[in-house]
Amino acid sequence: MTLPPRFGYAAPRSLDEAVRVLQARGDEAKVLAGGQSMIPLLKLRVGAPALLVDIQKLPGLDYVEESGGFLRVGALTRVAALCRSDLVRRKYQALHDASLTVADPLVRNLGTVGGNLCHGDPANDLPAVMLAMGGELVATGPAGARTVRADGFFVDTFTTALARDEILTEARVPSPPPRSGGVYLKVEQKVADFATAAAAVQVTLDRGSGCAYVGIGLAGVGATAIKAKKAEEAMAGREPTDRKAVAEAAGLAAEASSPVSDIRGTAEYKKRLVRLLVARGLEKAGERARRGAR
Amino acid sequence: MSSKPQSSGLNNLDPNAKFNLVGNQAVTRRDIYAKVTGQRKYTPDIGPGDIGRSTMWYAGFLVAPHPHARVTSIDVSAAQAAGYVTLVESDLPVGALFGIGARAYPPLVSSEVLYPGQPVAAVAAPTANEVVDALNLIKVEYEQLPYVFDAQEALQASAPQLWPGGNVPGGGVGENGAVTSGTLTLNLGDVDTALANADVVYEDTFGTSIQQHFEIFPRGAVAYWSGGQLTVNASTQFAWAVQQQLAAYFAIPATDVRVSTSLGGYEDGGALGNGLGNKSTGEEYVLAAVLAQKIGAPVKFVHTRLTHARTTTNRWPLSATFRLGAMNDGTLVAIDGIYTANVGGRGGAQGADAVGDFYNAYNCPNMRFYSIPVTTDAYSNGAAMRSVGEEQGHFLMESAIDELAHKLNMDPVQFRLKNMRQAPNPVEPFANLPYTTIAQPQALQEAMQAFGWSNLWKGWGVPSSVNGTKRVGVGMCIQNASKGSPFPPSTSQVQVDPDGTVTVYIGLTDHGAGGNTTFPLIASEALGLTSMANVKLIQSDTMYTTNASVTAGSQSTHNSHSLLYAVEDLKNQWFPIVASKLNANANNLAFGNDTIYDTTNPSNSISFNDAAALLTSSIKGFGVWQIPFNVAYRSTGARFAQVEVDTETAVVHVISHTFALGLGRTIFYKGAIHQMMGGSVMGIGSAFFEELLNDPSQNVTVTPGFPSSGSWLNPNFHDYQIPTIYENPDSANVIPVENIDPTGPFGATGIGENCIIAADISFINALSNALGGYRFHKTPIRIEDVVEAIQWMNSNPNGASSTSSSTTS
Repeated sequence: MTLPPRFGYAAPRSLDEAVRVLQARGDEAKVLAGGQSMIPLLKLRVGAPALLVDIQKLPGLDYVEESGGFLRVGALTRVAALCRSDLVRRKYQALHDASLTVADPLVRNLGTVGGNLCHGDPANDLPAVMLAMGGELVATGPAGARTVRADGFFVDTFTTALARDEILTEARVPSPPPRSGGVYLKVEQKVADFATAAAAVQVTLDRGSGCAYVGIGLAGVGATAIKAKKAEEAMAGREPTDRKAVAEAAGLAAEASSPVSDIRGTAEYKKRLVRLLVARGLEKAGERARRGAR
Repeated sequence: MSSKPQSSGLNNLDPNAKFNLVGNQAVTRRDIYAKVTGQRKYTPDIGPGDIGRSTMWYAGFLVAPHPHARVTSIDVSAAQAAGYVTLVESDLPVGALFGIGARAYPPLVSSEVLYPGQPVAAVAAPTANEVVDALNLIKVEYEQLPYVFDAQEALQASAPQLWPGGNVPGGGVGENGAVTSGTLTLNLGDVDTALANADVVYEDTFGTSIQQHFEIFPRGAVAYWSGGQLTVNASTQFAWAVQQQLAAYFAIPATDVRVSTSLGGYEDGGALGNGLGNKSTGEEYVLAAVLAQKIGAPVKFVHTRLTHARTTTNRWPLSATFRLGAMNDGTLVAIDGIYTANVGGRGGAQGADAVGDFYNAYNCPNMRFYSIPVTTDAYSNGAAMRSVGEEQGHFLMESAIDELAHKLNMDPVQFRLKNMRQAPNPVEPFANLPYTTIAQPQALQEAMQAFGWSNLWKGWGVPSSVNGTKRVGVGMCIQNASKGSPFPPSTSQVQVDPDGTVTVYIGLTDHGAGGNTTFPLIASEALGLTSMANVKLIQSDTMYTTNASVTAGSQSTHNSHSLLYAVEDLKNQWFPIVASKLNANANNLAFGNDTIYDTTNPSNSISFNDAAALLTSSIKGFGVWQIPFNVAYRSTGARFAQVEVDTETAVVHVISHTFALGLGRTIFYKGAIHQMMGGSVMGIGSAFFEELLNDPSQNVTVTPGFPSSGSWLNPNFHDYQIPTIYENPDSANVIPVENIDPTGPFGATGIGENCIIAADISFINALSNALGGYRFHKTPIRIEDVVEAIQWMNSNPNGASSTSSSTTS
């Protein structure tokens, strides 16, 4: 049996209080939400924070709603809530697909959307979706709330743009216009393993059938989740059924990745997976965009 | 003991017999509610309150991170100064060894570390959280020594010599490469001539990897002393043996040692949390007892996943090089096999069972086998893991046989039907022992039909279907495995109280295979009961139960045959009392449908409970059963599988699986069916996931955030992968074949490990068929192996050609 080292515990009742605790002890504290990554890290003694700030009792951070041109997801929303959301399933397919592949049902029941994003694990699923959909993250600290674009949030492995005295309070993605579709494709050795490689693809078609918007996010193939910008640009105005365009974009996405060889496969294999998943993803997202045309 | 008849008079072997409980599909697992609701208390769950104490100390191992090293110093002063209690080898009684098998060993390393994970020190702390802190305070200095992981390398003269006398336990390899004692050699007919005259000769080498049981509860023990008496609540498959070993270790009478699986007694007796062969005995049982003595308080020792994976036993890697000869009509004429078993640092296992499987499975006039056990620094101790070498052996055998059929361009089913051992009158060829029963060819024929083989098999290397990038292939294999060796006699008791309560006492435990239900079911059936509602079970607790042998080897159902003798003994005490009440002859009485009745006048009967009420006190029947030695006990069956592979992503998915297994007679129906399904899922793990990995550089990060600082790479559930429900086949069809075994209770054979044997190779043969006939040579099949197979297939558009050497004469 391995148990965590001793730690202090605080369970603030309000966001202000939580931020005050972090302001005072941010250097030695870690925020605890669903605990699905934090508790194993403690048990493995990878980290030994002096204080755990359990934010699960903070009110008003558990919601999935559409307003002001965004889908807004409270940071304490459990991943399972995204899986169950009809709104997410209909309009935010990439997010829905990804939610269904987060670890296993037990983890999804407890793990939070905020935790999945703040952990900064390159193999997590939701960061790639945020990058593909052009999402934003709301960080609340002593000076109030600020918005960070997803492509500036994932700084390094286990490192995000959050300051020590900030708490992620909301994740949001723009509501896609008509003729939009998304998908999340993941290859994993088995369910609940980290992604061997995964790709989130979001597409909006223009009046013809070219791409007005393409977003591509990659998981498990670099130090952070990766936004494959060159691949996105290569698709601009071109059709997701254009095999040449898709192959070109998929190749650029593979170039943007920097996987390592491990027990899940060689770096070369993972790069090939990126190419495949992005190609299949563009095709599938395009198909969904056409089907959903209004 | 051997004068006992082979079967009790209460044993009904009629294939068409009607039973109340035996084979009854409505019978459910007796402990299912307690298990599902978390009420079942396993050894790791035991707290001080459960044993009537107010405090408990918690212990753990400090293990060596190096594969081969000399311990130059151990400094426990800081740990002791912090109030922790430590143990190193010099604290233990001189010469006190522990362990089973050929090599007893000191529970803590004395000077030389022989595998990564060998325990160097133990420590106890007053709270569970502090165990890791206490371990971190112990400083050990090592002088690292040259090490060897691979068995073939360890056979070289230049390899580090790990044991006095060399790396082949009890023997060695001479200068000319000739194998000396310590090895197994079997020779039948004239292999060389048969190979020279064969139409087709196929030669190839196959191998397997180190696997770990990773049972759901790790091994552990709670030990406490009351005066000179020791109690150990252990997660053990063999409480009686642990009792004997502890008594010997402390030089006290066995009656002063109580060992039970978990808490023992009625409800929590036998709560093992699965064993799979890993929980026969272990050093933590004795160290917990030593620490408890030293501290004067109960000590709980539960392995971490790391120490569980690297300190306890493992499934050993077995490799084999075969030369097989056949005639053009498909007749198998020669088998030449050299098996090499990597037995780990502590030794123990070898290839005998795997060899036995080959010569039992196939009829062949000319057979020669060598088996060489080789000591290496790769892991602790090769030992049982749901079979003793047979799971590995079937992968080796059924890979080679399949490829031979491929060379002959013969349907793999037809090749087996032509060459496999089958009814009538099967005999084990080397010792000339008649089989007690065999399920072939029935099992193969039934499985083939249920699977729809004739529609799905399109030929060697030709997939059943291709849909875009997805290719579907089919494959099959047979099994013929030993189902337990003759052990010392098994004993048990059955008690009836005046209120009608029946209590079954048996020294076996429940692996999870359903023994909790099977044992009382057998006694209840013999007692003519239609329900087990008033039948209690006390199992695996040396205070109440006697030696019933180890719960292993698929032999517990067989060993609970002693219950029939116990009921017979009970009957002899009880029926004279009932006879006077019924005014009948006791010899004419029988149990049936909750009554005792006069067989000469069935209407003259008394209910079971009324008959019990005639008793003035409880009566207890004693049963002894000795499995006969002069016969062969074999588990026979066949498997078919359908596997899909995406040739772009290399992702493999098992679509369906059909498994027919000879069970003798099905006793606990649901348990048997679930065992068969579970074994197949475990086989998916063996085929595609399971391998305990070593890192020669001893300093590698497998997964970001989970750093490794030893030779081990994946001693946890995250990186050592086992299939979940999501990796199950889309459909699984299991077919129990009832081939009555006259030596088993009601004709039963056994079930547990028989369900994993040959599971992996059925999936692998199907994958091979999907990928143009590519032959995989090593388990588990990793993603890079599938990638390589796809590349091979793409560059060999004709497929179905060979990846291996073969000659056609």
